[in-house]
Amino acid sequence: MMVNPWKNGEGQTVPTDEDLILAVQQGDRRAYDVLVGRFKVRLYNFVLRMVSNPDLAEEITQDALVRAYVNADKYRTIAKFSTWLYTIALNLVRNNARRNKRSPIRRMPMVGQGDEAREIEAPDRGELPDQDLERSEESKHISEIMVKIPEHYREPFVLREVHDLSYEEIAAATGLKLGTVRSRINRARAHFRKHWVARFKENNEQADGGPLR
Amino acid sequence: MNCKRAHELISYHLDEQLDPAGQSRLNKHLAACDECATYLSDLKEGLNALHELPLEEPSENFDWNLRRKLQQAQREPWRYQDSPMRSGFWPRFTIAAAAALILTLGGGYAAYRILQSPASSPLQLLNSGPEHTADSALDIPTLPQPYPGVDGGNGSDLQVVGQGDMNTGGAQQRGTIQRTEHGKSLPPLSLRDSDAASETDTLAAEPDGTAPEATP
Repeated sequence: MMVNPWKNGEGQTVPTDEDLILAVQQGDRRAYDVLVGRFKVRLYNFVLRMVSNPDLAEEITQDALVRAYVNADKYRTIAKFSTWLYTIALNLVRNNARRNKRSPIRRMPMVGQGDEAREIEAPDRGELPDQDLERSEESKHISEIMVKIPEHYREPFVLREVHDLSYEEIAAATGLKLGTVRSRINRARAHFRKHWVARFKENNEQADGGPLR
Repeated sequence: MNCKRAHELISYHLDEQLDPAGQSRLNKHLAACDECATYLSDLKEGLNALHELPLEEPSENFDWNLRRKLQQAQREPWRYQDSPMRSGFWPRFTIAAAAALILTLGGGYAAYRILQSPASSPLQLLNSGPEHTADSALDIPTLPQPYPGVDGGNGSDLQVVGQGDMNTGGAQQRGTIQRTEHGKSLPPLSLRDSDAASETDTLAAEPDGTAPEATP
């Protein structure tokens, strides 16, 4: 039976992610575009927190979205669509990390690289209002802190703290046991606090003339 | 409760997963331990800063690149399909299977050689009598020279005296058996002297396919 995610018996409704991916399985491209609209930014931010490189994060995010489309028929309703999508992205992040370990210079191939490479440059920092600049700096510092958290701790930590996934969803996305998820999040938080204190609090205290802890 | 355990409970507390009894124990510890209380307040502050960060937008040509990749995926879906070979499963499986096959064949061949050999150890080789000793000596190119004499049961001490390079293997390692009895030298025992038929059988079984040489 053809799935119609756009209407139910009572008329117009907002389809769930799961309705949409089932429609994609039936070849509904519009449903896929809606899913991309819903997840593009979230997924990009998840990958960005993992790889800390905007260009690479975009490539991985695009690849994850394309893979979700090409492999839509493999999705089963036993899992939330978001969990399934994060799993795809996480596998790509892990593959990329493995490749980088073997050959640090090599990066994921980018479709359209070369003549068609991005022409849009990052906005000039000088044009940003003070508040935005401050936030941008803070974001940069926090990204640097995130990279310092060991990768296997960072994965569940980002899913928990940035994407608010439950422990069960994180276990499903990462393939870890529930107890391991708990303990890795705990350890990641300890790493995060240590680096955050070193970066922000101690710097502030030093600037204020206070003692270093 | 030690501070390490308190940090674990702090993590559960932040996720609102701590039961009332655990929460009560944590509160008690935090009231008595300044270090853990500071740990909690620092962690909360840092995580709040992380939560308040706005989501970053991808670049403006994100959608354009995504469309290009989708078009490519429609032309070449295999690039984006889950493939055991691309995921690294099959290469790892193939290497493991090849290693297992080599080990099995190698082990099988070694077992075959041992079973085919009339004597399977230097001790057995020497205990089995001069006839078998001569044949078996050809199969063990790493015998130290002179090999320490072992009483073969007839009061004779045997020494293998090589006539060729012992490390070249095959029929070139043809040797003669230097026999002594209670320190008195006896005439050397050549392979032909001992048992020509037995020698021929053994040499014919050489793995390198070298035709057995006639012993002068």
